[in-house]
Amino acid sequence: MIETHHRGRAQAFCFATAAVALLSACSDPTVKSDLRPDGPPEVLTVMVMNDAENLYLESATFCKLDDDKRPTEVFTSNGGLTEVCPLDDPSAPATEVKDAVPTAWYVRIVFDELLNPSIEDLVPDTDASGDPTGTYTGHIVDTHPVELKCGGVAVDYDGYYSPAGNYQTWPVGPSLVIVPDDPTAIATGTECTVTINDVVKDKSGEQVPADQRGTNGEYKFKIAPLALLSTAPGTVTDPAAAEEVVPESPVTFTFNDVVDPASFTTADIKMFKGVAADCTGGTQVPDASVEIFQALNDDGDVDDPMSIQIADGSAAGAAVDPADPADMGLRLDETEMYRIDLTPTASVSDAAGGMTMLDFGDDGDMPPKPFILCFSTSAAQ
Amino acid sequence: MKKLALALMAVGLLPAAASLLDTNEVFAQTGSSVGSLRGTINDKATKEAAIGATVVATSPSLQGEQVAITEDGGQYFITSLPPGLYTLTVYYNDATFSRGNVLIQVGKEAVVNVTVDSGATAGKPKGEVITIQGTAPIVDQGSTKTGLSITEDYTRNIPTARTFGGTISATAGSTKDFFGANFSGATSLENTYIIEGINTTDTSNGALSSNLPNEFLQETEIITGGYNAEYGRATGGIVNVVTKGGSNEFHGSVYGYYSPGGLVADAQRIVREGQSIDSESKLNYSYDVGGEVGGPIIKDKLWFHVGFNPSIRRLNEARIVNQQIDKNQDGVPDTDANGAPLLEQVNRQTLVDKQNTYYFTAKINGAINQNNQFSVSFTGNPETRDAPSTNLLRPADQTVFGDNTGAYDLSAKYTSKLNEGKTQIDVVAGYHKGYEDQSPLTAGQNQALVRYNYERSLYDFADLEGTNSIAACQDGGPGDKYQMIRNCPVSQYTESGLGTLEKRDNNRTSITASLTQRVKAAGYHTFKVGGDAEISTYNANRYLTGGQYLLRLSCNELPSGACDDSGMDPAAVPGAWIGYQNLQEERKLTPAEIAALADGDPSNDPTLAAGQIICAGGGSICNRAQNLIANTTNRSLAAYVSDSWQIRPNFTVNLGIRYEQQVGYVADKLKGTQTPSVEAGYNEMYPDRAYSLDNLWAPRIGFVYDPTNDGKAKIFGHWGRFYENVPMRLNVRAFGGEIQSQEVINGGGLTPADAGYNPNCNVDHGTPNLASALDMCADRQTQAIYGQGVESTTKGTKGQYSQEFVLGSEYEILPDIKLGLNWIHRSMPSVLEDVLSPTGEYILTNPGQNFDSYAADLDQQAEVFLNKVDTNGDGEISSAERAADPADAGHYDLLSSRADTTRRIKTYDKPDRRYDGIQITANQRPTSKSLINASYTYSRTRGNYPGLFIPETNQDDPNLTAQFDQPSLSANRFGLLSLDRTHNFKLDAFYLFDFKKHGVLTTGGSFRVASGVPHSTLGQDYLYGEDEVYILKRGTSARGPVTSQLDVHLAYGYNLAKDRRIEVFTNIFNLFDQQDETNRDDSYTFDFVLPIINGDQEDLKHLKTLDGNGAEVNTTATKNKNYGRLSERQSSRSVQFGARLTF
Repeated sequence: MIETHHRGRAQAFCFATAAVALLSACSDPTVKSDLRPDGPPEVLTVMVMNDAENLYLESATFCKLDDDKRPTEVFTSNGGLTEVCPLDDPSAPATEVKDAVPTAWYVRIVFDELLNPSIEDLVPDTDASGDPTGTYTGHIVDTHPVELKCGGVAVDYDGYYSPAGNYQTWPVGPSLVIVPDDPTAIATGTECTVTINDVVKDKSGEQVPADQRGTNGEYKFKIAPLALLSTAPGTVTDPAAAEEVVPESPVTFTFNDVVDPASFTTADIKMFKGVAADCTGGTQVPDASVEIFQALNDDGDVDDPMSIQIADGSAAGAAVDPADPADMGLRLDETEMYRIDLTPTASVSDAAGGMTMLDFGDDGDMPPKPFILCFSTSAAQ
Repeated sequence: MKKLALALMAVGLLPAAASLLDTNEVFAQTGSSVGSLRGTINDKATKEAAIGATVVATSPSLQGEQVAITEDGGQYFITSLPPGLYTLTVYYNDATFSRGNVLIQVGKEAVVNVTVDSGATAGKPKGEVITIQGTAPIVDQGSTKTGLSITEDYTRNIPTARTFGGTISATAGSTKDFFGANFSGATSLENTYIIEGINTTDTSNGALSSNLPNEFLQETEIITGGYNAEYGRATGGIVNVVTKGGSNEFHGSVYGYYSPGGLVADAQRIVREGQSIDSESKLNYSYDVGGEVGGPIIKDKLWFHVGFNPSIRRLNEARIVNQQIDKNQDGVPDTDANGAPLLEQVNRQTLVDKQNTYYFTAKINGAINQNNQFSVSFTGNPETRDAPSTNLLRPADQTVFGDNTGAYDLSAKYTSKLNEGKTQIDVVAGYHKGYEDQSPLTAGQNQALVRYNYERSLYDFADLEGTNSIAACQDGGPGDKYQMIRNCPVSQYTESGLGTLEKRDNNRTSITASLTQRVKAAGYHTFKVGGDAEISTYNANRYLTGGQYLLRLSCNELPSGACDDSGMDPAAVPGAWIGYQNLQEERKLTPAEIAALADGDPSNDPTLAAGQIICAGGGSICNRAQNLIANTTNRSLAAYVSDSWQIRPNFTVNLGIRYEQQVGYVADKLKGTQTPSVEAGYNEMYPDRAYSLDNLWAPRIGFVYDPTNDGKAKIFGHWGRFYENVPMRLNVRAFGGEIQSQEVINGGGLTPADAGYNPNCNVDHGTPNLASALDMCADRQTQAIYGQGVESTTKGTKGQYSQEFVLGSEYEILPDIKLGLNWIHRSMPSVLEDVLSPTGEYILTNPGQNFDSYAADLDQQAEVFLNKVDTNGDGEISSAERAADPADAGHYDLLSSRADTTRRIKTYDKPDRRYDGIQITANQRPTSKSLINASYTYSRTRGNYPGLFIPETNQDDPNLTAQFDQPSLSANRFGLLSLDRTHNFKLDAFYLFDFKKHGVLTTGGSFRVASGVPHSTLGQDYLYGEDEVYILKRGTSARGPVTSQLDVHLAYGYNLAKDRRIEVFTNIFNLFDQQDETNRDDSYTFDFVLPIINGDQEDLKHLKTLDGNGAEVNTTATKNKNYGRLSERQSSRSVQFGARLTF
């Protein structure tokens, strides 16, 4: 048998061992990807949809300064990288977004911690039979977490709360996504502001501090100016590359927003036919014969409200109503060479009143100056 | 708060205490297949140490005898003793004393202090032997190791597995994972398995490769921690197996085991909603018949031992087709009270799993003289198997495939003692050969694997399942009893090929050598210097049946998001497919072709033949590779020095330091060739070395203090660093030329009415030559190309290691019974993993560590090339400058890109794993009459790095798992790891009732209780697939239930003669047929999602999904119907009968 004093020593050691072990298993460390749940919620970045081509990448219009949680260089779902907030300089602010997509803009406010999820109402989705699908759509129209104003006027919106965020909000996620009811109702080029309301709280009930709600309590961005995105047929830089198109189809101008067809008239364009191979000369189609319209679909609705069509009403066999898809008449003369010129004062307005001059200055990507829209037509199909 | 602060301070002091001990760093250890003995001889008559006494150790396990002369203080030391029961004979002052029953165990040092009484011999005849009663203490006084030793007493009398691979989980705190038994929070792939002194661990992924039945084994030592510098290359446990040797008499056994399927209890069904195919495994029968015998070739000089044990197992895997029930015709499938669907069986087929394993052993022990001994052993476990695929969601006749595996091991050992036993040289050389050969058994299995990644009716596949067999599954058919529901839904149905199969050889040639010198200076030192070298190979031929793997998407996964108005009916739109292919580089593009690719005009792009694809960042053309062949090599070197400094007879300090180096080489075929370019225009030469992990210094320090001063107790502590031996799957997958592509096929989903419609794009099950048709579909978009053939390794990358701190105590509370209390803390400061760079290049590195200095070096190197190309000095490379010198421009791009990636490594979460455990153990010395092994372990295993595989997905790609590939993949991973079992109790015991001439009755049992599995909430990552997103913090979903199991053993033996007994026995496993949950479905959703960092169940309701382009959608995730449901149970009760004749 072990002597008593030996046993006592061993027991003391055993207790000490056990106590240390129990205490060591207490806490998890903070890792880089963790949120910052302590303290009030802070806005790390405010992002705006300005990816007109893919409607995928958002750009930051606000980045919190000197905060290591703000997203900088992030992986995207296509395996690429994008820079949200300036990577090299943590003190650098975001560049204000001035090109929000007029037809699909929305705002994402990214927080450094999870919000009280009651900021979002969940409404069950149903299938065509009205049966629940098991999924839900989020709404914030009733909780009204922000004030959204464009041109100083309140804008109706809905949206949702995304606790995980998207690929661009890394390394944090929680974000409120503010989606205007009708983005096209805001005139292009308009400045908008977002103001966070007191209803936005974290899980412990703390509000976003007043000094963390952007510059002068608001976040700013602008809707992109109205712009011509493309023409069909396309413009050319070399007259020899002029396209041949079918005479059944009109010329189409496509813009980046819903346009007001009434704002685009023969005062803005001149149509010529009988144009030489070098795209010069030709005979102007009388303004009265130049038809500017928006083509309809089979249901009688405007097929693409962002486009305007142009037809030659003087063409042989011209359609009576070129906007009507059922009218089988021609929109252009057969086997003819056309050119369309813009007038020096050419302009167009969007449906909400925003206007742009089609001067195709140096800041225009499309089409390059000089504007040469020159094409030929084939025989009728 | 104050108490907590003090507690934290106390914890913080522990490392400080450890660092103080650094000043006394030491260590010592016996050989890996032998034990040792030391003690003091005192003379009662003189009350002084018996100096000059002769101590002789003899045993049936020992050839000849081992002799030592006591030194100052009466101390004696005898090393290199084979495990077994010994008798010590002490010759002193013309008297002879004998003490028997001294147990020597592998890797342990027994302390036997003997008090002789020279005065007691007065008047007695000279030569009379005075027998000293008593047994030697069972506390190992030589080392700080924790773990368990398993001997034949255990394996014969405790109901346990047939091989050591199954018995090692009896160790305190051990749990089982997918690949085997694990220890102290580490995965089983982190163990090292040593048989007869050579490393037999699988070179592929670190799993168990060689396995032997218990009858062939002398002893299995499981070292779970506190081990010394002669051991390394493991961050888990060390399993040290010693096979039986011969003796001066012939001994052996003939035995048989039989487990009838008829006595296996019915397994409770595991019901899965939305899956009409269910399975049920049941043993048909299994039996082992074997024999082993050992004896002398030349008595005391040369012994042999041989054994052979065929093991035959037949398992019936029932594949059951069920249909859902809707008796009230309300369109909602009926469920039971727990919400599980009620089912009716439609069809049942039986697949037979045929497994034949042929174990053998052969060993020769020789003793040239007392000081020079050797042994040679050859063991193996070749196995043939026709195995049903783990995926039964495929036609039955396409399911069984061939899988032949096994290993052979050859070991040669030599031990030489010099200088009166004070100097010892040990050398072990070995060769391990492991292999696996997976093969299709039918022509149909040799085609592309085709999977339908959404729920549809099983009757869609009636041509494969049998129209009549599943007639009830036909919705709207004549036998449709429940017309309002889909009768037989099936998700993930798979047909045709088997996917990736492998034929591989995994070999290792090794040699270890050590020199031990005992020195008397300020106590006794046992210095040991040693080293080892291993050359390991992994020759892999990975074979993708049909050259590709095709996955038909559900419409909500379509890039176009093209679901019809009725919801998610994939049949409403022509299905899109994902095609996965292995690629190999066919040729590099010319500079002109690269320029044409970059000009943005598709008409200028190089013309690609069918199956060709632009790869390697636009620098090469690749084509499909059905076989990926990679022959790879690793070289591991180690050297160590240690000192076991016995300052006082009851206080020993162990110091040791080990140096390791691991070099992994790229596949042979790639050496001397150019890489596919990451940056078009420049091709590097493949490096010979994939990685070189140098300067792996592993210090060890420990102490052992015996407060009783007679070997019956010890208080011990140990701190050590343990480096991982990097398994070679890393070489094969990351440095073996692997390139994989992922294409979207028919993403446009054109219908016959659409312009450009191609019927080859709109294929479905039933389309003749489906894979060939899809090959002719032009609507193919490369979604991702994974890998560039080789990964690059960040300069300065460190080896992966764990650190361990052990404090413990043992006390022999009764003769032959000891109690123990240990505290074990383990951490993992450095982890080796790969990350994905923005250029698509995978980089092997230490995620979360700062490599900025190496990034600066790369920037400097890049600048050299920038200066060469940037002729106008504006700091940028214009297109004209690039065209003038594309190679140097590409080289600049490559280096600057790597610099960026290197800088980014620190932004990843740092991998970590922490284990804290308290173990209370009770062990009885193994005797032939009784045994107790009991343990209770309280532990927590936390972290964001589970180890060399991911238990949640079973991805066993050590050091190149997906978990740190992108930052978003590592979020929420820190938490309770799934190997955590907070409470773990084990009790193994037997008792033998000796009825003398009427025989012996043995009763044994094994009882286990353990906490359930911590579960997580997982989702599908857009790029990495199912269960790669930890939506909520790891381990925060409900923990599984506590499981328990009682196994019993009953045997009757009859002694036919001395040393000859016949015995019949039975083992009943899971006596009470407890079939509790052992795992559940953690997949919350199969939608693409991102993690809700630090979120909870309330946040989960608001989780939004991503569409086919990875963009966020304002729709919550569709919850997996089986999320949180039981997916695995304990095996049902089974009975094993056996008989054994020992002689």
